[in-house]
Parts: sequence; C-alpha cells; structure tokens
Amino acid sequence: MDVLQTLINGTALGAVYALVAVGLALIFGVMRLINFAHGELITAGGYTLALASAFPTVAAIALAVVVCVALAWLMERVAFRRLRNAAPATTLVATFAVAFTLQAIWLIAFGPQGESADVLTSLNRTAISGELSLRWITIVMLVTGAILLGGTILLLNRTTIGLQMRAAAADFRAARLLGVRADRVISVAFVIAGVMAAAVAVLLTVPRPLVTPTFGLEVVILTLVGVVVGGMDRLWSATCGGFAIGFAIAVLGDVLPSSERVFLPSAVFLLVIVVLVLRPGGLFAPRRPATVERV
Amino acid sequence: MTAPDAAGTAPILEIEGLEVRHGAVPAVRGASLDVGAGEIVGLIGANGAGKSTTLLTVMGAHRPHGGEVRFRGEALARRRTEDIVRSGIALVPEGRHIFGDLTVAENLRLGLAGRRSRNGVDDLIDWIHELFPVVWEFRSRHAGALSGGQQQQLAIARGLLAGPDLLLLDEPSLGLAPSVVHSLWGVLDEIRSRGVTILLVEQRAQVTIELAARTYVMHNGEIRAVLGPGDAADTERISNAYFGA
Repeated sequence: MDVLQTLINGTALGAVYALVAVGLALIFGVMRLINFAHGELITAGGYTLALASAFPTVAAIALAVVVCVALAWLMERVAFRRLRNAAPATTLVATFAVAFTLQAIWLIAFGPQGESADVLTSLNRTAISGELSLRWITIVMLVTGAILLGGTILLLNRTTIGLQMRAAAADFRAARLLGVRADRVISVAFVIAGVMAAAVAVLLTVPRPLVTPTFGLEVVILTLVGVVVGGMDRLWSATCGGFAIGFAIAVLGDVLPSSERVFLPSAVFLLVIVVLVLRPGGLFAPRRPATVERV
Repeated sequence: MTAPDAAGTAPILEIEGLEVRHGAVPAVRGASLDVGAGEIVGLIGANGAGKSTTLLTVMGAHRPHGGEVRFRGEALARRRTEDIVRSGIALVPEGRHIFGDLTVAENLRLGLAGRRSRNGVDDLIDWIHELFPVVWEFRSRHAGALSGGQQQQLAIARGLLAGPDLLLLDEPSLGLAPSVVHSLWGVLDEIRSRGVTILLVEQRAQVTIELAARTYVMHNGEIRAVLGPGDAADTERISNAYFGA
C-alpha cells in the first residue's frame, strides 16, 4: 500500500507540474521563447487568492484566473510582441527582466514574509483513510490536471485555433504565409498559459498556503528542468517531462528520510544530469542524433 | 523574336524598382515586373538570383529597402503577411513547407485561414477534389508520408483554398520527375483558366518560357531579359540572360 500511496501522490504532483509545463511549452512552441516569467503568473495567482481569501471560494478562484490571464496577455502585448523577431538570447533576457521586475513588485507590495492564501485549506482534510490515505487535494489535483490537460488536447486537436497553433509551432513563417494570424495564435497561447498558471496557483496554495515573492519561480525552475529533460520542442514530451519532475519530487520526498529532505533538489538534479547524459535530445524526444551539436 | 510587351491585360501585380537586402548583401536590385490579370507569368533564374526573395517581399515576409509592390493598384508596403494573404495573394513556398506531422486534411484546413469569407468554399473544394484526386484520397494520412509530387499537389491545393486571385509558385517542379512536371504544368494551365493569375518562379527555363505569357529572367538580383513563348527554342539567348553573360 505504501508503494501505491507514493505513486498516487507522485501522480498528483506530477499533474500539477505538467500544467506548468503546458504553459511553458505552448509559448515556446509558437514563439520559441523560454518564458521564465511564467512563474510570476503563478505568484500573481497566489497573491490574488491571498488578497481575496475573504471572498467566496468560487469568486476568489475566478479572480485569480482573471488576474493570471490578464497578466499573461499584458506580458505578451507589452514586452514580448516587440521582440518576436529578436535573437533567442535577447528574448530570454527579456523574460528574466519581466520576471525580476514582477518579483521586485511583489517584494515591495507584499514584503518578504509572504501572504497566506488559505482559500481552499479545507481540501487538506483526509478523503480516504485506512491503509491507503488520500487527502482531498490529491484527488482535486488529479481531476483538475486531467480536465485541463484533456481540454488542451481537445482545443489543439479539435478547433481551428488549435490547428493553427500546432502549425505555428511547427513552422511559424509557413503558417503566416497561409494567412494564420500571428498575433491571435500567440495571444491564445499566453491566455492558456495564464489559465494553467491560475490553476497551479490554486492547487499549490492548498498544501503550502504561504505565498512569497518566489512562490512561482521555484516551481517554474524545476518544471523547466523537467521540460528540457522531456524535450522542449514537442508539447507532449515537454508535458511528460514536467509530469516526470513533479512525480520524482513527490516520490523522492516520500522515499528520503525526513532528515535527508534537504538533499531533495540535489537528488532531482542528479537524476536530470544522468538523463541528459544518456539522452541529450530529451527523455521523450525521438532519437535524432544529427540534431545534437557537439562542440 | 522580340520581347513581349508588359501585361496585355490590366496588371494585377506591379513590382517597380524593388530593392531588398539581406543584411548588407543586396538580394534584389531594382527589379521591375508586371503580372496581368489572368496570365501565367514566369520568373526564372539560377540559385541565388533573388527570385524567392522577390516573392517573399511581395508577401510581406521581407521589408523592401526601395521600390514598390502594388496589388490591384494598392501599395503593399508595411502590410502584414496574413493581411496580404487575405487581400488575395497566396504563396506556395519553395520546399512546399507542408506540415508533415499534420494530416493532409489538416494541411488543407490551414489553407482556409487566409480566406476573406467562406463563400464559395464548397465549389472550390469540389474543384480541388477533381484537380488533385490523390490529395483527396490520402486526406487522413500524415502529410509527411506523401511523395514529393503529392506534397507539391497538396501545397498548391492548400494555396488555392485561400481563394487567391494571384497565386505565387516558388519552384513547384523542384525535385519532381519530368513526367510529373508535365502534368503539373497542365494543372497550372487549368488553374489559370479558372481566373487565377499565376506568377511562376522556376529554374527550369525552357518549360517555363513555353508555358508563360511572358518570362522575366533574373540574374544577381536584376531583371536581365523578358522572353515570350516563341523564345523557348532560343537557347543561346536564354542561357546568356540566365547566366548573366
């Protein structure tokens, strides 16, 4: 039962990290932009929940979604749209700039101690007890992850804008030459990333309600590692990579004795190094030896 | 044989003194050409002559440093690629740029992105069905699994679904067997007979000159000659213009 317990907890956290990965991979797909500022969307969602904790739960969650989507849209409109044709290094630095600017704003506005977002703390209660003990939040993480990932797949595969996003991810210029509107495709990618960030903020504030200025950054750095390990150039491989890192964190957290938990990040990164040495193109990416540049 | 006059019909596309640079390197140097409504016009030249750059500049993918491109008398400068497509120009790019991971049907659906309206889509689909039966037959396959000739048919079909008045074709015969090229030329003639104007960029000089009402020869970014179908046999003149002698 212990193994099953660990696997379920790992899958639940994996689902949350997969949602972060989807946000990162969708934007990377259409803009070839590694959005470090994605974490700030999650932090913004966390602070919104903290500030709206007096509101009814549904209203607080809805407000978090609105804030995250609006901030994502604004990020693209103000900062990234002008850099669409810039060199990858320029856009990467720009995402750092946006991330650090927003972190400074969080620090000035809310201070370093953090705010408590206890909107859904009731979900920490046990849902199933006995040999297998599950908290409600574990179930909610699994269900939310399944719904949002399923929704993204349906959007990409069953709608015109989804088809255009897949085409733009494969070859943006060719898509534009067919009349695909670049602005619309990119805006939709950012809006979806905003929705994912809001969901992640809601889910993560349940087990750890304290929202600090680096609340989202920590999650995004770990997910980015997962996304790189999975393979950044495809949505499904990036998502699997995000899932794998969340799963690994939860499983290692369960397996390591509590006195050794400080080594959790080291253990995760060691795993990443091993994977990248064995599969430089990514764990889930197809083997393409010619694309690996040796310096 | 003398060079034919510029467009006999009202020009739908006018390129005047076009200058395009890639960084500091001039790619197109003062090129001018006219395409009349309902014509097939050729633009030939060796690799690096500036043909594809000219087409991509018409589509707004490159910014010109000088000169003007007008479509139906309106300047296209500073318009976005997707708006140029909606105004009635479709490009079938060099190398086809088929989305190999998407199905043939999905590639075709993407062609609809550039339409101004949905009017007449059903008739157009019926026509494309007749024109490219193979594309239709393989519509549920991944586009990457098609042969080169089939991919070219798909690329043209996709371009036509945008409902263009002017179709720009960038080396459609590249990598195709001569017999396939022959049937492709038949298709182009049929497309023109439906009222779609064609600007055909090619390296295959002779067959292009035979097909087109007028063929511009480009060398080193400049238009060096304008040839008519009657010049197709004049290999010396063609090669002199083609190689810039």
